[in-house]
Amino acid sequence: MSLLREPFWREYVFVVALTIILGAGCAAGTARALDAALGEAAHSLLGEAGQYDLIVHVRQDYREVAGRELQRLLVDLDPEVRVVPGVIVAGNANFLVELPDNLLKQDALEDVAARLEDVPGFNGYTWLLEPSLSVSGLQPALRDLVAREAASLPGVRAAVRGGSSVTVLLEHIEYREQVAAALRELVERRQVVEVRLPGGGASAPDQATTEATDEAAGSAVEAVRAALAPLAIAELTAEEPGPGSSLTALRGLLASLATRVRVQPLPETSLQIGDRLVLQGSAPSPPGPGEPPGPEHLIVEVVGRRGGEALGWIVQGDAGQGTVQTAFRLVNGAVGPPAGQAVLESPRWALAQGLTGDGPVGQELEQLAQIARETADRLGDLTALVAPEAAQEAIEQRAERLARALRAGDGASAVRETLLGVALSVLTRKLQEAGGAGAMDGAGAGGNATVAGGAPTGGRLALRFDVEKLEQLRQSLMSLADAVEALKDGAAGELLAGLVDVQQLVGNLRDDEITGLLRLVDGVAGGEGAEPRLVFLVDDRVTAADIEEAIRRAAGRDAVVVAARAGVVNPSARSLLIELLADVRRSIAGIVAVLVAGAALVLDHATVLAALRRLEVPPATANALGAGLGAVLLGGVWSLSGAELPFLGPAGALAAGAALGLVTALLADRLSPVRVEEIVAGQSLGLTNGQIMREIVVPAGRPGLLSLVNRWRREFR
Amino acid sequence: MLLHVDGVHKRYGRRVALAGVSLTVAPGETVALMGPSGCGKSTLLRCINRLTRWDAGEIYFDSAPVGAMGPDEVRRLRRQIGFVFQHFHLIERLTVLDNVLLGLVLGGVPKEEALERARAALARVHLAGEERLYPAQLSGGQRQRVAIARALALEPRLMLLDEPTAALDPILVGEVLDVMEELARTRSTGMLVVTHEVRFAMRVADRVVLMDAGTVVDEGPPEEVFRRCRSRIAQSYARLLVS
Ligand SMILES: Nc1ncnc2c1ncn2[C@@H]1O[C@H](COP(=O)(O)OP(=O)(O)O)[C@@H](O)[C@H]1O
Ligand SMILES: [Mg+2]
Repeated sequence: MSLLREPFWREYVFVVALTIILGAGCAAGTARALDAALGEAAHSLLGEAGQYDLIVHVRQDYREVAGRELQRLLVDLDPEVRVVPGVIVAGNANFLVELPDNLLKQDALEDVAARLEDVPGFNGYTWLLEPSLSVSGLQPALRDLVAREAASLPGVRAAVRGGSSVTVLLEHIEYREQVAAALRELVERRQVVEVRLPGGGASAPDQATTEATDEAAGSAVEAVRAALAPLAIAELTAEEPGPGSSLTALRGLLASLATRVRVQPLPETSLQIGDRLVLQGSAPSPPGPGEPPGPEHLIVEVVGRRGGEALGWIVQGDAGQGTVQTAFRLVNGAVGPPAGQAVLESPRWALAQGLTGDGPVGQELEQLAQIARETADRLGDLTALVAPEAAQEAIEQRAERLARALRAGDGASAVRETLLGVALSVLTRKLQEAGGAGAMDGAGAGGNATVAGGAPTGGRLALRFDVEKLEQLRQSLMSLADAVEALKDGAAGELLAGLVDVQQLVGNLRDDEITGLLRLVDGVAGGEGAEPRLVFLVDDRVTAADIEEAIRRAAGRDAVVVAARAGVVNPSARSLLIELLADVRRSIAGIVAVLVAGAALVLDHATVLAALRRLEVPPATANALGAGLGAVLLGGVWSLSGAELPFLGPAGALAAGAALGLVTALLADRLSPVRVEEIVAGQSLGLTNGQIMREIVVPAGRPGLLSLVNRWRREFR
Repeated sequence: MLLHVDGVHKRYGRRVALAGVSLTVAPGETVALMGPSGCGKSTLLRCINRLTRWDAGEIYFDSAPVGAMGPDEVRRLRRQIGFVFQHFHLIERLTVLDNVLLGLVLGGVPKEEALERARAALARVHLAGEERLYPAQLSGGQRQRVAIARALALEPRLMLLDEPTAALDPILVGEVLDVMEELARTRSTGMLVVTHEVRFAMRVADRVVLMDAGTVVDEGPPEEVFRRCRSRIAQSYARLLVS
């Protein structure tokens, strides 16, 4: 500290302080300027606060037509709606929508949102309702519950559902804190707990078998319900079908179409689940013991038992007409001893023959027509899926996409699923045809999602899809719809023709295909239908372990329990944006702080540090001084400018500064070479270190704040 | 005695630079320090004004032990000892005049007086007209004369000159030697000159000190040292004198 006696070193300390103050001003100023620019952009994006209520995102290439259509759809709703084109951001054109006061109600707003789906190129929407709050990340059933509860809070004008969130429009901004607290109470004090019961029941094509296994699963489910009743606030599954429900329906449909196989075992013979049996099927001769089964023989896998009978599904071949046949065991790939009498009942055969019973005839015709059209539309999508370019994809991927496309049709009726099922089966047939004969075996083997692929062994799979045939199907669905409509005018004959058309396609399904499809559905649905899954809303004090324990005690089995917070309360979109901008400002300030500290170190302090070594200051001292300087500079600018970086706190800033400073000290000679001879000359003239710094070293170094300040006290300019 | 070096030892790591050097310089006396390259001459000069510290022995300036001096005393010592380097060591960004003024002004000499003394020093080295020029605009001989003026301006009691002509073109050596000879003749300051110029030593030096491997091997009036040729070093210098 005796150093400070010399004026130069006092100036030096002054320069460090000045650097910090100017640097902080510079960092904060840059950040603020940027903030203003961003605020301007935000303003042009969102309008004045409260000016617009909704922002609709549309794919940029649909901009023109979407604008017209949006205008039409909304003005139709209320002539006072105003639609203003906004900026284009990242491929999305945005439209700002101003809604009249009378539309600012829950049902009207939800109706507006629903209409947006019809806008061409629609790519989502964001509520700009002000003042508002939003609750996001909600499970569908909980979303409805939260919307109901939120709507009844004082100060809430509307609670609008959309996707997995609820946007809560307030009467007045002053309710904000109070409503936010209440909403937080609603979602953040609760958690959604999903309970899965693994091995709940085996998948089975036969309605009866499914029922039998469902019964066992059902009792377990009831036990879980009973066990969780005291812990749970509500059960959520019952209120709304999950996203997989249409698959469940599809699965039910497929099961209803599959040939039912019941085997009455011979005395002393017991059939176990998983056993395989060989039947004559439509082959000219019965299976010969000791020989492998022929291609036209049926192979049945036992999947359940009821009473004394074994229930099975066909994993190879097609039963055709129902019959009674002898079932032989399949032992090591060869036909074994007889095991019993199999009764085959084909519901499809019956359907195709007479359109009896469970077919779509029983449904309302209006609905049928509508669904036929929708399905025909969707089939258009499916046709795209099997177009030649799609053939490059692996079969599993295609099956995934297919299943996803199907699942997208939410909340559909069984009739819709019927027709979707037809489409799916035709596709699967195509897949199998392309996959070669080997696919047949694959269809039965081990219920995985690749069943449709039965992947051909070796060689590249050259899939060719008969797009024409799909087109045919689509046509017949369209004409079915036309026919249904025509029925109103009394043209019953056409309807019948249309139905027969479709039913023929249904009748054309093979049993092993159906089995394969079932397994495919089970596979993509994550074992849905096989694994009972319950969702409860519980207080957040209840832990997953508590629940597991309760289930173990009540149902005597282990369950997989996943718990997650019910949802998150956010400020409105605008407030989020404003917070985001504040984050950006702090980050920019942080970056500028680092730049300022770096520049000061390189321009001013590298020179001083390099000279210190020549003035016989030990290297360790110079390094420590460098690290200290860096920490003081960056830390100072950081804290004064209110900087913040996501990965660097104030302590991090100090450490980063110290590291920068240390590196500067180590590289000082290279960053700012000093003329050693001049320093020695100064020493030989009896100058002090400070004088040498001020008159010799700093002026010859890089121009920085130090050389600027140094200039006025310098004797030799 | 102005300067008394008494048994000074200095090593750089395992390399011995000075192995017990002793010599003296009386006020106004000119001593030529000669010896082969690497024998420790520069090291000795740097020890004398404390640019380097030594391991053992002592150096007395005006009877004061140099080794025991604190920073302030060292600076005072340095202002009484002018140092002229082989490679001039001028401050590139300063003019000739400012280079000479530097030590004066920063040493606390009032501006007016400093200017007078600086101009006088430049006149003594025949550079009165060049004070506005920068070192880069000067020849080697002129630069070395500026360096001499810079040392001289402080009115030192001892001048240490470390091979002042070794970095110069042969045709420029003369002007520097002439300046040094004039300086020696005035006897205003003691001079310890490291040089290989035997004729200059013969003509100007009161005494020659011959060093080898960190020690003094011979010493005395130049004619005597080079005539009796007691050491190998003296013999080689004497041969130079004959040729
Ligand atoms: N800074 C130093 N570090 C290490 N060795 C040095 C240093 N300066 C000089 N030496 C060594 O000390 C010895 C004496 O050097 P020096 O005094 O320059 O000799 P001279 O000036 O007589 O040629 C030489 O061997 C030289 O290599
Ligand atoms: Mg030397």
